[in-house]
Amino acid sequence: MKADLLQVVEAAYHLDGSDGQWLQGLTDAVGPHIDAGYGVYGATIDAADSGHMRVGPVACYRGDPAFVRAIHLTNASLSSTEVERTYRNTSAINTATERVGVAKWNEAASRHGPPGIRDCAAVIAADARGVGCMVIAPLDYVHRYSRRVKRVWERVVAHVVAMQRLRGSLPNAEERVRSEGEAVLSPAGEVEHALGSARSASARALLQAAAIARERARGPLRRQDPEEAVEMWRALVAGRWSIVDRFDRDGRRFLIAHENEPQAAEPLALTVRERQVVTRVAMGHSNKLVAYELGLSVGSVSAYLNTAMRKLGLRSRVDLARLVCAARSPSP
Amino acid sequence: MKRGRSPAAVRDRAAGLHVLPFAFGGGRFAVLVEELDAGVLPDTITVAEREVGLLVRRGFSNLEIALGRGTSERTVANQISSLMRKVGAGSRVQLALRLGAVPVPLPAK
Repeated sequence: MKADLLQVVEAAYHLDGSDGQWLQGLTDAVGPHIDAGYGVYGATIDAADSGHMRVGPVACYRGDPAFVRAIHLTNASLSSTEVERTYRNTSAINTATERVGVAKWNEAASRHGPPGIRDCAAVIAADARGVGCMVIAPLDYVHRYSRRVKRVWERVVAHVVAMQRLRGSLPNAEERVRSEGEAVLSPAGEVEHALGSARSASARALLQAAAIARERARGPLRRQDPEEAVEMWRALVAGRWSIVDRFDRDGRRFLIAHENEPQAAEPLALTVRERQVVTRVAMGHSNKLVAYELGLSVGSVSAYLNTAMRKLGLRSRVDLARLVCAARSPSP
Repeated sequence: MKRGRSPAAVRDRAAGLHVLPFAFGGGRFAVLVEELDAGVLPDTITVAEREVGLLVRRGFSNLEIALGRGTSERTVANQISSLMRKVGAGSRVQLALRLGAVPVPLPAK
């Protein structure tokens, strides 16, 4: 049976339960996609301090303790450049041999890992600071994911990053499942109750459209065309809201729109929306992916980007990335 | 032919610097750039790709790189896509970051 891609997205949206349970759910959902018979391992990662990377407790899917040990040893042996380069700036799904080459990987694997492992698949969901989680699977063959697979996982991972951010802003589990967010919608997308900026007619229309797309993605389409289903269910609404499910005591389902704006802390003289776009472009994301991540149209993304580039006096996306690098690490 | 063309392509590895011959506007220059940190890159990268990579991470365009190196723009584009494949970068920006993009200071306000 083919593994279900939307299950990974849905696992990200589980708001009840502890962080450990959330990571376990995510690992279980990613598991069937990348498992090669050696188990699948999930862990939180924090590479914000680029000197080293902190790896949290490991969640296992059909796991083996020998690998858990190898994961900690390997990560402890990473140099700061390796952390900076391979965990911060990498595609959402990749393999270790792709990041560092076959020769270097073999060398590292022979030092720390059980024998017979030739590569390691990784799904990495980290924000612009390098904070997030990874789910990895040892492989006994050298592998590379196709562009098509990478494209769809970039989108899946955008949901994981958004929901980790939401969990971070609502740390209390009780609060997470009870908060009514900025808007309450029916499964059909009718706004039943709205606060603040969600009250305007245009906000209501955007939320409704997003709710409908989300329902359609989770309908028969998820089996017929999983990639299209993922494409349809975008990671955010209008750069601002995340929509999550809520069941009341009678088992009735509602949708809750939580305010969940990505922070973009660079000290650049830009508007919030411009900074959100700039941060993502500087991570090497395409305009289409940025549109998906923020829930904006591709036209808006390119307009925000153009204005920002003009304000900053830049002429290329690489220069933009270099500027954001400088802003992130205060130079001496 | 390739070997004789650029005697200036001296690599001062001890200093971690790399001298790149560069022709621009009729003149010949040498650009001094920091070496790539080879420790985190696949060793299948060729010398030409490495030199192109050094310029990509400094924000040069394909045309500028081609003019500077005296090759065609198409050659540069091919070298870049081959680099992207080898390091697993999905975009030019990601390539620049993977090679260690050289930060530029914030604009003065």
